[in-house]
Amino acid sequence: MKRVDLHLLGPLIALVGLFILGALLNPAFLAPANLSNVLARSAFIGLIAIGMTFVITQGGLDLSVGSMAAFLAGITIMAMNWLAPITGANWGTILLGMSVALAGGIASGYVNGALVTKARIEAFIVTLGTMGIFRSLVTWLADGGTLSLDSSLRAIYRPVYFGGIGWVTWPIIVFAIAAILGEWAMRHTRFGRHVEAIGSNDRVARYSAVDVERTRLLTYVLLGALVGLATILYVPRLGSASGSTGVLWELEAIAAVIIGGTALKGGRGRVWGTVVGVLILSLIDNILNLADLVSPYLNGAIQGVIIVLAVVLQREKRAAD
Amino acid sequence: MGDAVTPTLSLDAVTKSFGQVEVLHGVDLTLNAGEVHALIGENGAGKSTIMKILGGFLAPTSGRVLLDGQPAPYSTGPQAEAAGVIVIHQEFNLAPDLSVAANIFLGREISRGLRLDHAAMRAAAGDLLAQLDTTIRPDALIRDLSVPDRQMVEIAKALSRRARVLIMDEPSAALTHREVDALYAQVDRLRAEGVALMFCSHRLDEVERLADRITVLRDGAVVGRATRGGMTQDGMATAMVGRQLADIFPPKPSAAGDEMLRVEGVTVPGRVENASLTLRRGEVLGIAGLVGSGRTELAEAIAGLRSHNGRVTLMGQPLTIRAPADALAAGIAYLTEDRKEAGLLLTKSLTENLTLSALDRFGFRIDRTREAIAMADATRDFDIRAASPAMPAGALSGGNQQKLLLAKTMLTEPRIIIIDEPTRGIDIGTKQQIYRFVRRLADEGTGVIVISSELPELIGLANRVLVMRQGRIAGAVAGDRVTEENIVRLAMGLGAEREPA
Amino acid sequence: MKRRNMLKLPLAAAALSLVASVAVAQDAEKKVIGVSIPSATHGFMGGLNWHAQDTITRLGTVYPNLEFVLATAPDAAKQVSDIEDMLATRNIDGLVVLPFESEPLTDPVKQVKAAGKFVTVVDRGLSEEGIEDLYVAGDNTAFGRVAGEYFRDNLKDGGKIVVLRGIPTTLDNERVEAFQKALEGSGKEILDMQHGNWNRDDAFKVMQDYLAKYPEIDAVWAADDDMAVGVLESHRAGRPSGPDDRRRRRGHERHDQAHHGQGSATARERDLSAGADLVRDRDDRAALRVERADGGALHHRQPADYARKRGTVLLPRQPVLIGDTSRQRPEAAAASGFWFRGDVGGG
Repeated sequence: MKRVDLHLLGPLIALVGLFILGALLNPAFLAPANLSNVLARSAFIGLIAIGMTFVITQGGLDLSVGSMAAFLAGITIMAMNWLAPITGANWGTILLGMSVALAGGIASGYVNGALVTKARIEAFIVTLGTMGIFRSLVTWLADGGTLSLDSSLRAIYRPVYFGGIGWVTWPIIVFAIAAILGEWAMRHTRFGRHVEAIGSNDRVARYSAVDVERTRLLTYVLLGALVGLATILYVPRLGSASGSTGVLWELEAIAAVIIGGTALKGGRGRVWGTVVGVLILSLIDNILNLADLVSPYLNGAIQGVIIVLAVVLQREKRAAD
Repeated sequence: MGDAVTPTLSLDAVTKSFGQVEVLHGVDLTLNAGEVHALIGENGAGKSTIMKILGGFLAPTSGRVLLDGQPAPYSTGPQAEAAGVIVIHQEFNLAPDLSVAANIFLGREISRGLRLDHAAMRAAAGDLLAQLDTTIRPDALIRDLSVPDRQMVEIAKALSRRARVLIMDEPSAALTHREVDALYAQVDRLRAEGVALMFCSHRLDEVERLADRITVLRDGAVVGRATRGGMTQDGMATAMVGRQLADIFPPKPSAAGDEMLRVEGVTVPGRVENASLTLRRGEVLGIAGLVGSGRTELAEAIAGLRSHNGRVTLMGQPLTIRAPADALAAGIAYLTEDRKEAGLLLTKSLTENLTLSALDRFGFRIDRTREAIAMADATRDFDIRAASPAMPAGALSGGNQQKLLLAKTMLTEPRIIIIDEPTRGIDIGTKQQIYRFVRRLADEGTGVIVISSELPELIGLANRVLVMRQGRIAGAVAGDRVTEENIVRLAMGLGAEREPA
Repeated sequence: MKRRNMLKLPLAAAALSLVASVAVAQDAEKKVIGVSIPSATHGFMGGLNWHAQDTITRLGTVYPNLEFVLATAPDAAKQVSDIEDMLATRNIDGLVVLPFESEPLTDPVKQVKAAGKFVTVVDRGLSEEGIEDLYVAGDNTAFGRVAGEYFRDNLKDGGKIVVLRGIPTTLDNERVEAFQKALEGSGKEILDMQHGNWNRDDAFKVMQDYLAKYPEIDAVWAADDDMAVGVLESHRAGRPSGPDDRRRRRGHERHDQAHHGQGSATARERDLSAGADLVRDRDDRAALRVERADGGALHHRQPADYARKRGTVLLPRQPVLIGDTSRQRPEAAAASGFWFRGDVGGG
């Protein structure tokens, strides 16, 4: 017990190391503007990864989130463009658009969850299917091109991504709140405890009168809602969605969850670890852009090494038990 | 038994420490060819550690492991197997998705050229299984087999390896009577063939029946040795526990009160057919029957774990039970026979396990302080011996796991508790504690149903015993007529009990 | 993504028109033209598909004797089957093919040629030379060179440029090399080149980081509408207090990603940038269509030397570069005069 638990602290140490490395390589790294950029960029994947932490912890998986984000961004933009002539270009329209994103996310998550829990199809297969479906839907809605938000609405909506309290922009604030609530829910509520119990042994959970199906379904709905929330923040950034929006986000989110110390086989979830994992992945990107350390071709390789290392550390932990 | 005979496998002044803690203190042990050696002791006495050392899974801290008088030439389990020393663990080492034959020959597949010779393996597996007097088909998948059948496959697998030394951990814990007989016959056959055998068991009758040599362990040291006939069952129990065991079963008050639970016409398709029972206040109702007779399925149906038809009435109120939560809300709790796979989260802390079924009592934000208090209470009330409440439940000994499971179930404050195999694989001291606890529950007004394969347990505990056979209630015995013979007759389908002579 | 290297929007249209002209030149009897392209799995291919269909419709109107068989394929195997089917069951007279991959398609296309059909290969060449009657492709070297020359001529001495590269591919390398070569000895400095992967989100991040890393940037070569959009957004977000006026943002390629669901007039006004910068959020296919609605004139507008060069037509893909005060189009783009007409409208 006195021994430093590498597995617990590893990601945190890596994060601190990256900070020091970044500061050494380029003083601009620590500028508030840069940190603000990095944090705000992390928010999309971050929000999704928080939801993914719950899904993975209960023993599931969701491959559809990247496509889902693109789809939600698409229907949100279409809804707002459609509404604008009726309700006018004002905050009311934006809020309606936001609720479309959120409701769409909840509905999409429910579809995934219901197929997994009620139709009893494996999560991997269900979400592999919905991944393709969402992706095609957005490509179809955009007719192979790009869906763009009406410029009058964009002007109003922009501050949701770019504004905030000083350097602390709204995405950062939303991400932080979601992370704190997520960690709290995982640690301190019945829901979180049940999610962990189902992930470590769903049969035990069932015999302990935990409503396994409902809890599982809820994690997918929660993830869908967080994808909706991420979409709400994403749309004002570029004001558009296309078939290539959110490509591979699901893998980035899963990678962040794993780096953070959540077991891929379920049973143990760490929301704070996921946040650290997301930050590690964005910082690597940022530092590689800021310093010509290695060829940018190798960016993916470095992230890959980090992911594998995280898993190796998990295994060492198990062997030490 | 002269010293001139070189023991096949022996331990010479072996100690074993984990960190600072020495768990084995200079153990000497000899396994001779053609002899059966029983190793007995309470949970935590060091039996598993000794078996792991013999089987090459652990290295001794000091002392020597000798094979044929020479230092053993292996340091891993597979090397030991290659040297003819085979251990059958309590947790089976079988690939669930492979066939029985494939498992038996796993790693030593019979092949013809590049192609596996499935027919030869099936035939050889079939011969082995026939020797064991089982009806298991060689091409059945392990996942479709019952626990006792899997045990038989493990034994067949060991037989196929032409073991010189065969070490078995609780070989009969999961077996029915008939299978136990087949197992004993095999043990006799192997002994006659000159194999050195060792087994651990909590069933002292079994030890008395099989063992040529008995070693009693307590707290990591040998506290008694005997050869066949040299130690009675009482003597063994006393040596293991280190104190005189009073009568292991508490007294049975005969008074039964009002009806608490009435179950009528419960049918679980394919498993239970039209089963009915009533439970009265103050009595312990036993359910007996062979493994597969539907007793567990009946209990699971009542607890909402299996979909079923039929009526359940609790304290005169009709209940609709569709999910475990319904049963729990009504106050019916089921304590599973499979504590490792369905009872406890082995990787989670004791506290998390304790409160899992009753989390709603700890607030929306889980109150850690109250949880800790509940854990402390449970530790005291159920005498759970654990280093820390934060340790994983899987690190507890079997007996303590069972006590934790009992504590977990009782935390939901059930009015009716159905306990399936209350003492499977736990030592005699803990058994006694659990029996007393079950009786106290009944005395205090909780309805108790006990399902068990161990007839002495049912006879000692239950006021009334229902016997199930092939999914139906074959009959009931009560009071003085709760005898082994009557139960077995019903379980075997011999119809109504014979009038006592 | 690999197929990004195609000339963007007008390639299919151009190739089809060329084929049509050949067909028409012969006589007015019924001709069947097979068109085999990858399916619309992402935005770029979406555009390609849209233009292919659009062109087919228009050509069908102008030349009633033409019949088109369009097949889209999600992979090379399906494309091979498509072409075999066209030959066997549809009795095509000509084939327009954008090979999914060079190798697997070479032989099937060769069979088509051997059957005496007119073969047009678009963008990605076959692995064997001399099969096709006509090869239509983009000119990546000119793409980079023209942009480089523009910066060379329009930036002040010592001007600092950052580059957003595409997805790491040969064509990206060709463009970038030509760009660098054009700038050689000009005294303009390329600060950095990172991959924005022709993607808005990636370009947004890379540009944010450029802004954090370099206090002074005079020009950005984004080379693609998508990346330019990301650049502009990050520019506003990345350094709010930065000296905007000292920086000029540059450059995009005519872009095929559009959705025609909205009115084209609005679409054409949808500039993301303030003032004179004219990076377009999307192109407007409708504008092009208007340009070519009078289909009869279509092939007359083809480069004069088309007939002589028959066999290979390289279409220089020029980025339209727009300065602060005036929009200029590089010479080559103006000279080609082939499809940038749409840009004139947009600009």
